[in-house]
Amino acid sequence: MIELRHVSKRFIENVVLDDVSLTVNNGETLALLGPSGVGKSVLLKHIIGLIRPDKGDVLVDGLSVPKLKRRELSQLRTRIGYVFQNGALFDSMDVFDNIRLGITNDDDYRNDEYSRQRVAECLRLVNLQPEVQLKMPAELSGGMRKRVGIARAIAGKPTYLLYDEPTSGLDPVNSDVIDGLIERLQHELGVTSVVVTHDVRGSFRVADRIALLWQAKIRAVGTSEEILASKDEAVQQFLERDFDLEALQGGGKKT
Amino acid sequence: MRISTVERALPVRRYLGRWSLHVVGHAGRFFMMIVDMARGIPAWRSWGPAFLDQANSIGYGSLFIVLLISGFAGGVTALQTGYQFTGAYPLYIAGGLIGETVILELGPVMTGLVLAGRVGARIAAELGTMRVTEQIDALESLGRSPMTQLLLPRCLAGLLVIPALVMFSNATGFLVGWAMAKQSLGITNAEFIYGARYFFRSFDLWYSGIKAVFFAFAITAIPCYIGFNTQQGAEGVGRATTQAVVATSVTILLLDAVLAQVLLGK
Repeated sequence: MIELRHVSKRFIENVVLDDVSLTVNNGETLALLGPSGVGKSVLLKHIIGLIRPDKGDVLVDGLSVPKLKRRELSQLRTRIGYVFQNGALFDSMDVFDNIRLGITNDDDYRNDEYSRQRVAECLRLVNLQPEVQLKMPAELSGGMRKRVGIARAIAGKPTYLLYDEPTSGLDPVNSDVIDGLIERLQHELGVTSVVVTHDVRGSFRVADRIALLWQAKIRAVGTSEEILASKDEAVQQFLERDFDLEALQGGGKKT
Repeated sequence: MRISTVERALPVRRYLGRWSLHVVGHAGRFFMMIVDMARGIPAWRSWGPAFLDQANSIGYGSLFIVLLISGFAGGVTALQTGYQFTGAYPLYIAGGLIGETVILELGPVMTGLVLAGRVGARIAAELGTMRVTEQIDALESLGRSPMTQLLLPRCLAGLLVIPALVMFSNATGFLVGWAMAKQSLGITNAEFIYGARYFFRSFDLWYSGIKAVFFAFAITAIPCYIGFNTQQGAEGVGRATTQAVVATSVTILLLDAVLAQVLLGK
């Protein structure tokens, strides 16, 4: 389980998170919605310990992430897969080596046979052809880079998957492919996922629960039905950009 | 209304205070980076492959430019010696002058400054780009240490290879200087070797090597620190690269002065 307790974070004068509390239950997918630049990625980086909170606590499996020692934090990170917004692939390595680096168990990583099988399996899971493993990141399209990023994140068989804007910058067709992939991985791997996005339609498709981060605070949390039924002005304003609310409120969950 | 001297001095004191804190902050973070890298040394399996790549890139990749510049430096030193020698001194002194100038100063410092540009800029740009494209965050998110996997192999490779480059530079500068001295001064081989041996002390090579190790540390560790802490996109990478070259070059000149005083001062 992932738990944020009264987390606050500011960068110089800019308050990014203000007393944010949020829980992600085991096995569920939570979509964190919010406008661009509101601090969604900052919140996600708190979970994996890339950013430390000014106040509050972040718990993963009951462990306080900001208080972990270096070695303990490294061990915790081996249980968390992080999909970066632009893939963050290592551009000096080919796709095979990029995905292989995601194998977080050192013995498995050094076992060439296991590495080959695991990389092939991860490529299959993200719907990429085996030939892709020979390419360099610069040779990949945006959608392929995202999928290789996901393959790297799942290579270490994580318990948690954190997606940072997995569909940003993609056309609707590729966005649908990635959303389908997140759904399928959730189903096949049974991981606990947090999906940071400003794509409302995608979040309704993949998430069990949705949270809205608005002006440094969690403005609403709930199932898609609860979010749709919310009378909160910020929630309404955010949803209206993507949905015909009246039609949806009559029609239920996913579009 | 008159402004008192104390009031006038306040902004200056505030500025100096902030600047001091800034410098102390950087020094502390730089020191912690070195400590973190030292902690990673036992994990040689993590940094070993990258170490070999870096040693090849820094050493073999820089060999041509280092030899070219040291050759020119040795040659020009010989030509200028020829210009200044008007018959007042015995010719064999030119052998000592050229040999000592190359080994004590030109070899290490010219090599250091060239590598500050070539290697320092590359390290800062590489790490800076990796920082702004989240590749360093990605490495951390996989439970791997960027200090051990990225910074340590670069610094260790520099510490191993740069002193070797300096010795090649010394040899090239000396040999080209010798050849040019024969042309410009009409000095014989026997006179040149006599002069070079007369003024040479074995400590001179140690001095050159010690300087090379200090310069190697500056050439790798400073760009690693600046590149690793890059911020704000492509502009930040450009700024980090420039800062790395300037800071490394200035540090090399400072180290040159300090080491001369400490190791050669009487």
